[in-house]
Amino acid sequence: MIRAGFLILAATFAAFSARAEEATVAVAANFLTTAETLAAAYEAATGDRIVLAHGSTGRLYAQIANGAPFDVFLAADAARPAALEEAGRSAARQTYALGQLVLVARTPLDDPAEAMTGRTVALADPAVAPYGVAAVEVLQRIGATPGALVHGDSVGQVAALFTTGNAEMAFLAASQLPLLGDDIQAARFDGLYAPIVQDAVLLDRGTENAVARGFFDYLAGPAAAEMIRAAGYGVPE
Amino acid sequence: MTGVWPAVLISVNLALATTLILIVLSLPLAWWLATTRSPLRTVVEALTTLPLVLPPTVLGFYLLILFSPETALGAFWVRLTGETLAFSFTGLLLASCLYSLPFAVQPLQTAFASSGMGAMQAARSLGATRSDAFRSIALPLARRGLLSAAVLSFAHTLGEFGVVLMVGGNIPGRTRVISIEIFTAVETLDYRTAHMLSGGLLAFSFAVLLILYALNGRAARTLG
Repeated sequence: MIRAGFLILAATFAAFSARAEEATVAVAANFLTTAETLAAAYEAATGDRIVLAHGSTGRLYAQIANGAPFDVFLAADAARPAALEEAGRSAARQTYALGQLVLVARTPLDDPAEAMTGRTVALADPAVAPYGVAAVEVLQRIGATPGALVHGDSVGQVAALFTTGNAEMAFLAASQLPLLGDDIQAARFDGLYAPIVQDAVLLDRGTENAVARGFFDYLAGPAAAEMIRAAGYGVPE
Repeated sequence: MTGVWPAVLISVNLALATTLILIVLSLPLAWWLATTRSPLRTVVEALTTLPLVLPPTVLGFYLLILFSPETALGAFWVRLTGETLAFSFTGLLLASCLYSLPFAVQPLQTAFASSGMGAMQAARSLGATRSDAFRSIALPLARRGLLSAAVLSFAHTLGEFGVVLMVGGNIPGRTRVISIEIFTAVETLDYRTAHMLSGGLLAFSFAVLLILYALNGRAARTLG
């Protein structure tokens, strides 16, 4: 009886120690599908587990500032990772991707500014989402006058507003295009917005976690770079 | 300071309009539920209680699909007003009415069921018409229920978050209500604004419930 109890106890501890072989990664919404691909490849190669939590960069940043249990943070900008570094919360920082902004619609987009006139255009909330900041910059540069601008919490929600047909056009990350299906027109605005430099941070909580460090280093490797480029991002040289 | 007032104004407008509409709709519905012997009663009762148990995301998801200009309702609305139901005050109003429906119907139904029937029949036998008896007997007897329904609808709409986040489009001055403003303030670490709005909402909600229970207690004593 006591022996059986001991075995159960041992099994429980084994289960717990197995659970320690994982890292929790906070991912900006634009990078979620790409991060899923990367995590699956990493898991297959190492047998470790990567848990992904996603949201707008601003929301995740606020959660980390309040002690959220994340080991790695894949932001959609460089400003918030830099702020974490300044606050002593970052053990390492690197640029893992260069974001590409796209405007999508179901109607022709040869002249984006004209196409947006009087239409409902969705973008990520610039207060918390770097892709929203870039979208606002583009709107100003090309002098577009949409009928209404609506904010999603992140590019993920913006995609939902667009695919359900509630928003006629939307500013998204190029990596989201495959999710939208066929018959979608997309316009790019290279050079019309400040580069979306997406930085990754190995957080203080993840310093002791071999899986977290392993995944963080894996991001900078050639295999990851290829997947990131294939998903529609630029990769730092 | 000026930054938070548009959100407060929208929230209060939304809550007031929702409460008015819900009271008008709920009075006949609650009366019917309290008095009918129709076999449909249980079905309607279950339907009106649904928003109470469903996560706001379910309501938000279906509304987003319903509001789309590709559906009959969405297309009709765009033809009528030139704007989509999603991202508009009207859309939020519709969502709030669904979301807060049980909070208006249930207190009224309970009030109608527990009072009025005997007195109504007495009034009818003395020659009062049906609507006359309803207005002068049932309604006054159910005034506690009416007060509860109004206050709970108002407060519940003020506290709405998930549905508005999904169908509102978070537009400052149009659909950005208090709860969304708090969400954004917390996300941008603007705790001053978050404290101001959260504290205000907390104090207001407590005061409203305190007054409601105080009035109900007194009404219970005077009615015996």
